[in-house]
Amino acid sequence: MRCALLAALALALALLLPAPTALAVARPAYGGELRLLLPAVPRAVEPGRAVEPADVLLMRALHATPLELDADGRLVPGLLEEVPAPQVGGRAFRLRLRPGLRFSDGTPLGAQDVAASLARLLRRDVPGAWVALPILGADALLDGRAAALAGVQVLSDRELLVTLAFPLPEWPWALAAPAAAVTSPRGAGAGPFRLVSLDAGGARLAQNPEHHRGRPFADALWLGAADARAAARALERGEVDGVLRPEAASPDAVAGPALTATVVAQNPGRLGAAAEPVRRALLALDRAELARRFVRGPSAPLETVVPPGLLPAPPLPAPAPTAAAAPAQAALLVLATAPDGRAVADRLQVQLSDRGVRLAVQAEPPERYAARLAAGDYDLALVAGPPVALQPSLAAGAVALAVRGPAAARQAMAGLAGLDAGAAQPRAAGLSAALQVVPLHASGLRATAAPALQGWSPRADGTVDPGDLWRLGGGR
Amino acid sequence: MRLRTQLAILFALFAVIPLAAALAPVTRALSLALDHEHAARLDGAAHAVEGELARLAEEAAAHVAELARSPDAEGFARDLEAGLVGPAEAAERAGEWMPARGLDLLAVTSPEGQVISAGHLPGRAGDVDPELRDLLRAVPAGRATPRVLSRAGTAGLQRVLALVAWQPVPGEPPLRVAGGLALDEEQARRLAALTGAAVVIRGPQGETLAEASAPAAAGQPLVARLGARLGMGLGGGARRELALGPAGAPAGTVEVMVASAGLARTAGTVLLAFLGALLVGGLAAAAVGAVVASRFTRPVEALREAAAQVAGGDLGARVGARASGEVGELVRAFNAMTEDLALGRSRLAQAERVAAWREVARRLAHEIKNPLTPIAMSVETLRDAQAAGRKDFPEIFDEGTRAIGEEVRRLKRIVDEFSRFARLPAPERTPVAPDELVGSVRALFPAAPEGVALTADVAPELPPVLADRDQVLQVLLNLVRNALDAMAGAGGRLTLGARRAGGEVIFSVADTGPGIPPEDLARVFEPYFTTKEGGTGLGLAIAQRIAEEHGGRLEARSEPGRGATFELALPVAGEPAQSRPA
Repeated sequence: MRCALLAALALALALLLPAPTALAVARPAYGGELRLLLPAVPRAVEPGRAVEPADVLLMRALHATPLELDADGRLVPGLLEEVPAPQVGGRAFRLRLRPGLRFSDGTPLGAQDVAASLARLLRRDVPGAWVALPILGADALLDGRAAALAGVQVLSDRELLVTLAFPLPEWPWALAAPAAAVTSPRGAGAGPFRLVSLDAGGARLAQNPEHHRGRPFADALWLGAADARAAARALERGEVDGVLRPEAASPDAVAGPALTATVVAQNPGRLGAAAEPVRRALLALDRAELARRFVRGPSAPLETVVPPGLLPAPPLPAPAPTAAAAPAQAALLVLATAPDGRAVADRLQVQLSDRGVRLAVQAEPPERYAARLAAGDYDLALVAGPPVALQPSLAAGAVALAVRGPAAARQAMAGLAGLDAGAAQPRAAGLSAALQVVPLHASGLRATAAPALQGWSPRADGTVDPGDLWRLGGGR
Repeated sequence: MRLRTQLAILFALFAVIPLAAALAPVTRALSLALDHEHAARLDGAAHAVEGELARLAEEAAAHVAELARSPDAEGFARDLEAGLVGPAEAAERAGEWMPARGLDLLAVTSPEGQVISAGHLPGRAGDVDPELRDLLRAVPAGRATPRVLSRAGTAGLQRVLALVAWQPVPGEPPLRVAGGLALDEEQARRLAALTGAAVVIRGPQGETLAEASAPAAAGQPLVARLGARLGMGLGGGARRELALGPAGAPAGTVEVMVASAGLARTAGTVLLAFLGALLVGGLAAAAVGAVVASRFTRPVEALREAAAQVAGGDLGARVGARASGEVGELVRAFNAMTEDLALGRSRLAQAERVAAWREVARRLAHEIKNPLTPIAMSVETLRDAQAAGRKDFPEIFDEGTRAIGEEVRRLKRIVDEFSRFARLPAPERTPVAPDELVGSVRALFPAAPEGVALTADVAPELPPVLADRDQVLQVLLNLVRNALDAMAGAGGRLTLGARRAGGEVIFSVADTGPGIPPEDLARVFEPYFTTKEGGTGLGLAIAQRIAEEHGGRLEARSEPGRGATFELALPVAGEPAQSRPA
């Protein structure tokens, strides 16, 4: 009788509830496979080399970072037990791992793995090396003069002390960047998923029960690629659960923050007498129009090397008009696989041509592009910065590393370390001239989700954590 | 140049000149015919290009019209109206449609020419493109027209002449689709391949925008190049210009130049045949000329060679070549002349030998005759004194026999000198010190004759000379005696010297006597020439012969009234004899 009464009460409550979604928001459902579409099929690269959005998302699925960002953009513990507090004036940090951490292959994750992961970043041409560059002894390890990072001291299985080469109180924010992910010596990660297969059609992942937050909501994850219209059609037909691309796949798309800085790096040695007229022509560009018309994702004009989302800055003053200069000629190196880069290059070609500069566009595949950029084999190069941390100094360091190398990156980070916005603005403005770059725009991605997909919103750093995703009513 | 060569050349010229004279009118006539043919082909090619351009214009207009009415354009307009497509995404859309429809240029614009999407110039999105704006204003929809537009290229923006048309897109917002086909390098190559002509596409200011050579232009054979080079095949500079657009202000021009390789090849073949005939004819005529000329010139050349032999002293040269006519008479006269010359020379030599013997006989008779008279007189005197029984006969006998003895010795000396001149022994040369030779000469004259001062001037450290000491002493003594004779009575100074000159030692004997008259100076070394009473004229001749047999020389110089100097040059021992210095 009592049971019958309880059943009748439950039925009545169920009938009275207004909508199932309200209940779903409150009660995430487990199980099923989630299908996501990205601008390209992700590649299984090291965390430090993950630059493209698809690679970063795969990295987020496979790996875990010592610290993470919560929904409000605050720094919260990830693999660490707590957010480390600065010591010795912001030059030392004691990192303590959670107990019982394991990689997806079941091997334990210890302090030694954190130290090794940081050291692995310090190799040539690793875009994410800016995370470890402030650590004492980073330059020696990078140059091959040392076998280990002098500034990382493993105190126990779960604890290590990191000493920086210069005061940088905001360095813990770097530990939430994708490049700071901890990997095992065999490449296994500690993220919410583990890789099952990867081919030209996409990446298939299965849940990782060893994840420090427990098993993810979805049992499996599929990451594929499609262009904007195909992705929109697939979403409309219910073939996929979410799309992460620069363009909106539906009117309900959520724009992520524009944190990827794109700059034009100049090589005055190659440009010669053309360097000044080219620089003036670049500075005279309407960056707001460039960002609005030629960047497909959410974008903003860039006034310094730090995205305005991190450090608002007043518009750059237009250069004073001068007597008509002799026609100049230059070549712009651009990444062939970056559609926004090609579009911006096309615009620069037209705009600079209107200002008397004949601009050749040299689109190169990723490997050749990176090699020429590192060797300084260019007149002008369109450089998009890697994923950054939410601090101006760290963002400036990431851009400086991309265009001018480790020494410039350390100087950029040290120059902006610990400064408030008012003090950091002029420093950041001066940094453009020091790095011989012209800031163009900052850009981000848009996340478009099927109505049933939950947790599909870019975080404050523009990335999405696949471990947070779940579908109303559970898996299909 | 030899006569035979001249004749051969003359023959060759006779053969070549008529052929060469015929070359000019033949080539001119051929050139005219080929030019006519070339002009016809050029007109045909220009007509073909014109037709192809018209077809391209229709094709461009058709593609643009199809796109403007297509679901793609309609959907694009709808998405724009609904705000479903952002500016950056919209800017790329024309770039997707352009290659699919075979267009080289494509833009979607507002009615005012503001670019929304441009496949050929994506960076122009958002701007009003003045070139497209003018197109929309000036040209009716659906009609293709030539225009110069800017296009993105890897090396920067490039201007391209294109056949462009536009069409409105039905619906809202009001959109225009403008597109066309570029008359670029690829199109120029296609037109060239289609017509076999070279094609140059120029902009409104005449600037070259694209060009393609005629397919046959590459690897022209030698004959074609020869024909073209010689102005045949000509029409190499002929072209047709097709103005594109309004006649007053064309947007560009297409120049058509028909490849003239085939015609040039024909012309070249004709030319080569002519040149070959010239060459073969010339060579054959030269060969025939050489053969014929050789028959005529062989006796003449034999005469020339024989004359050269005669001039060289060979009077036995004869012309053996057979010839007839005047040349034969000339040959016979030459042979007779040389025979006469040889006979005359033989006779002359015989006469000279007889004269020489006569001279020797005369000299010997003269020399022997002089002593014979005193001998005969002394004998007569002795016979008369003995017959008369003169008391002083012993004295007379003594005086007479002494005179006879003196004359007999004189005769002996004369005979000795003649004998020495005829049979001078070969010198036995050994190294001899010059100062020792000079000392030996001086020792023979311990006291100089009255009024004569004898001095020696010998350079120090002279090397030994290679000489037969006795013969050289004989020479020096002869020279000293002559000098003393020259100064006899008047007195003077006699200087005996020795010095080095290169590889020789010069012995000199200088006097201050009356000197030698110039007319005698040239003859002093001749045999039998003497100015001294009782002299044989053989002393200096013998001295010069000794000097020459020593590899040296004997020279004389004199000025009348200022004495004479004789110099004997002998080679230094151990050094080769040097030629006489100039």
